[in-house]
Amino acid sequence: MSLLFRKRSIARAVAGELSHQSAESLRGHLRGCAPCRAHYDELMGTLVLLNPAGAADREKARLMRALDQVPVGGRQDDAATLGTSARPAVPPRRFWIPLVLVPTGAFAAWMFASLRAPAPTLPDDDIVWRGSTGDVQAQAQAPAETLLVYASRRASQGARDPVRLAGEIPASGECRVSVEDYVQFSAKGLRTPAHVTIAARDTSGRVQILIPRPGANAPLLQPAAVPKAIGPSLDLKPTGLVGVVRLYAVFSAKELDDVALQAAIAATTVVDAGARNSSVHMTTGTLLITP
Amino acid sequence: MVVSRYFPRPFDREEAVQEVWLLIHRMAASFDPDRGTLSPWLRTVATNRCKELLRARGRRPDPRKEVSESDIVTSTTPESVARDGRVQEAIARFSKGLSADEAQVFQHSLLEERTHDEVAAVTGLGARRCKYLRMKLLLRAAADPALRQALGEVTES
Repeated sequence: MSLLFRKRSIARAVAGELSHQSAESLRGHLRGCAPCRAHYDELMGTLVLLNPAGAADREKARLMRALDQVPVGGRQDDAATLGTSARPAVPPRRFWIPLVLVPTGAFAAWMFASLRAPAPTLPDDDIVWRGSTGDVQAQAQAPAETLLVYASRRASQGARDPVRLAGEIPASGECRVSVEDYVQFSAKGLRTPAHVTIAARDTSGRVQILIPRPGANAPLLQPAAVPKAIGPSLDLKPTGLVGVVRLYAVFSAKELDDVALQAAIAATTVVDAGARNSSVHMTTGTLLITP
Repeated sequence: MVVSRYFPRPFDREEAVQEVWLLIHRMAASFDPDRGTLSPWLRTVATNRCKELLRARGRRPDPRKEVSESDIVTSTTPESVARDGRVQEAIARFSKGLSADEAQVFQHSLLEERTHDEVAAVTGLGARRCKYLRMKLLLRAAADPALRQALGEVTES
C-alpha cells in the first residue's frame, strides 16, 4: 500500500529531483519496505542500463554529500548517523490509512457484489472453448529446444575415452570440453521438424559453422521423445577454437544460407531469442574449450 | 565491481558502496604502502565489508562470489559483447517508438544525462517540458518489455 503513496517520490529520487534530506528520508523508508525497494530497483536499474556512466557520477555525488557530514575523527557508528546503517529503519506508522481505507473497501465490495449481474447458467455442452482444447497449455508448458553436448577424449593410437555429457544448453548454461575432445551434438525438445545448424563465435567475434560440415546440408531432425544426434562427431582440434566460445544452435523450418545464419545470430535479441511464433529458434550457451 | 558481485540490486549496491567508501575513508590512515599496493587493500576492505553487511541481514555470503584478480580486470567476453549488443538494440527499438520531441529528450536527458537546461537549449523545448518528458520516458522505459528483459539479463550476469 505504501508503494501507492511513494511511487512519485521514488521516481523523483531516481531522476535526481529530490532534495538531499527528502532523498535520505525516502532511503530510510526503502530499507524497511520491500515493494518500494523493488520499484526503486526497477527504475534505477533502467536508468543505469540507459547510461551506465551516469551511475558512477550519481554515486560519487552522494558519497561526497555523505562525507561532508562525517565528523572529524568519526567512529564506526558514523554510518548510522548518515542513514546508511544496514539495520532497516522502522517506517512511520500512519493510523489514519486503515481507518479510511477499510470502510471504503468494504463499501466498494458491497456495491460490487450487489450490482454484479448473476452468472449465466449454461449447460457444459453449450460452452465452446476457443482454439483447440488443452493444446495451447500443453504447448506452453512443453520444454524448449535443448542442445546436448557430449564429449570424448582422444586417447592414444586413435582410440577414444568413454563418452561423457559435457552440458545441456540452455539448462547448464555452459559446457567444458578440451581441445583434444571429439564432440557430439544432440537435440531434444523439438516440436516441429527443423534443420539444425551449430555455430560458434570466439572472443574475436568470428563466427564458425561447426554443423553442417562444409559442402553438406544442415541435418533435418524430426520431433522425438529421445535426443537425436546432430550430424557426425566433431574433432575440435582442426577448428582452432580455444578458450571461451559462444555456441549457437539454430533451429529453422527451412535450411538457412550463410547470410541468413549470420543474420539470425546477429539478431539474437532479448525479444526474438526463443520466440515461439518465429520460424527460427535459437539456443545459446557458452563452450569452454581448455587447451 | 566487488560490491556488485555481492549486491546485484541497485539499492543494496548503492547502500553497500556508501558503507565501503565511508569505511575506507575512516581506515585510510591504516594503509601502509610498504606492505602492498592500494588495489588489493581496497578490494580486501570492500569484500570484508560486503560480507559483514550480508551477515547483518542474516544472509550467508555466497562463496562462489569470491572476487579474484581476473574479475577486477574488465575483459570483453563473447557474452558481454552479445549482451551489450542486445541492450543497445533494445534501447534503439524503444527509441524508435517515440515521437520526435520524446526521442530528443530521451537521447540528451536519459542517455547522455544532460541537465534540464542543457536539454532545453538543444531541443528548443521548455525546461519544465523536458523535466516532465524525462520522468515520463523513464517510467515508460522501466515498463518496456525488451528493456526489462535486458535489465534482467544484466542483473543476472
